[in-house]
Amino acid sequence: MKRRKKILLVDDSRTSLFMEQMVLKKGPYELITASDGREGVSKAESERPDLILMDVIMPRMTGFEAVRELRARESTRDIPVIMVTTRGEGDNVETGFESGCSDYLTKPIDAVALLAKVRDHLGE
Amino acid sequence: MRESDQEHGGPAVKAQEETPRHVQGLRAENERLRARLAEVEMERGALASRCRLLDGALEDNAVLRAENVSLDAERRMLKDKTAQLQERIERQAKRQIELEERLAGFEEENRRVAREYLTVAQQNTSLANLYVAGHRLHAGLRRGEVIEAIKEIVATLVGSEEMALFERDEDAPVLSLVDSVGIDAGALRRVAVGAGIIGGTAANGETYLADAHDLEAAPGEEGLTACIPLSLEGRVTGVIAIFRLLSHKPALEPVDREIFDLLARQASMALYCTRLYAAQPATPGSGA
Repeated sequence: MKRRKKILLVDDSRTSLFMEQMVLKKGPYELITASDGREGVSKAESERPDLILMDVIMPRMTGFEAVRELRARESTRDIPVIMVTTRGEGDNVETGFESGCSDYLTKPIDAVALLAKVRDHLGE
Repeated sequence: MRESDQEHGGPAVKAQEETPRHVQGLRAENERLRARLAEVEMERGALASRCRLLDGALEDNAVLRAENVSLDAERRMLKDKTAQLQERIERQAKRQIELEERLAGFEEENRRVAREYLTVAQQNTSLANLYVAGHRLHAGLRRGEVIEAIKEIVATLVGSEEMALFERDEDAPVLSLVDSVGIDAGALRRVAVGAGIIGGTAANGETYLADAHDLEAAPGEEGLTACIPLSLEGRVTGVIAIFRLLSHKPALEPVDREIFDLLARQASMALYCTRLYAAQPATPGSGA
């Protein structure tokens, strides 16, 4: 039986997490959640997801810091990370890519765009 | 017989005299005949030569005729073949036109399905937004949770990180600021019902949308995008003021208006429930 792809959703907003889950749970994915950057890094290491959706502004550790941490670790450096944020300005996008994120998605979340990017990064 | 003839031997003498001339004449005639014979011989040779040429030409002609017959047959065959090919080309051209028409039909159908898919996907997103908003508003019974949910709905589903939440005082026609995000709310701590856009929304109970109304903003109301009256049992109990949208969101969309309607109907109910919950005497395990 084919293994379901695992996606880690990292966001301190329960509304965002709920929205992402609403969109992605229809697909063949196993969804895991974390509510800040530090928990996200920890779960990425223990769960080894196929893809991470990461918010930027979060308590304890921001999304940018979390991605840098993920890229610095051998076990998580190759996991694609899509930043999902309200900050869509050029500077933020640039910072995101500098920190090592693979792609960018702005809030409010567009279900079609989210699914398309997820499928793209999972090679579906 | 004349006398002179008799004297000189008569006709024999005369014949003797004439014979050389006669021989000469015969010789001349002979020469002429020889020459003529030579000419005739030459003419005969020329004619024989021409005959041979004509024979050759006739033979060539016969060969050419035979070739002509063969070529004619080939020409007829090619003509038939050309006609068949022409017919085939016409059939193919007709088929091509049919296929192109069918392809155009498929492409149009494809575009229609894509448009429908997009519409359905947008409707799904709208429904998901509304479901998430409704779920989040009623997911908690603590005031802080509901206020946080309202702020998250405005930030995450509408797309604004500048907002203020007001509740109407029980005993006075005044709106009090409950919480705000991303704005200087100094001038908005208390807003009289009927004053400015925010107070006006509380007074008339109608959602204000900047792109549909042209009202003058009171101090602190600059950059307002929308004002949503929160209603309960036909009475306005509060207002959500949404200021600037996120930089990458140029304008409100239809789904935003649906979220505003949902907030208008259900946010006040959710806030009211938190008051009821808070007023309940604490019971073991309730966490109130």
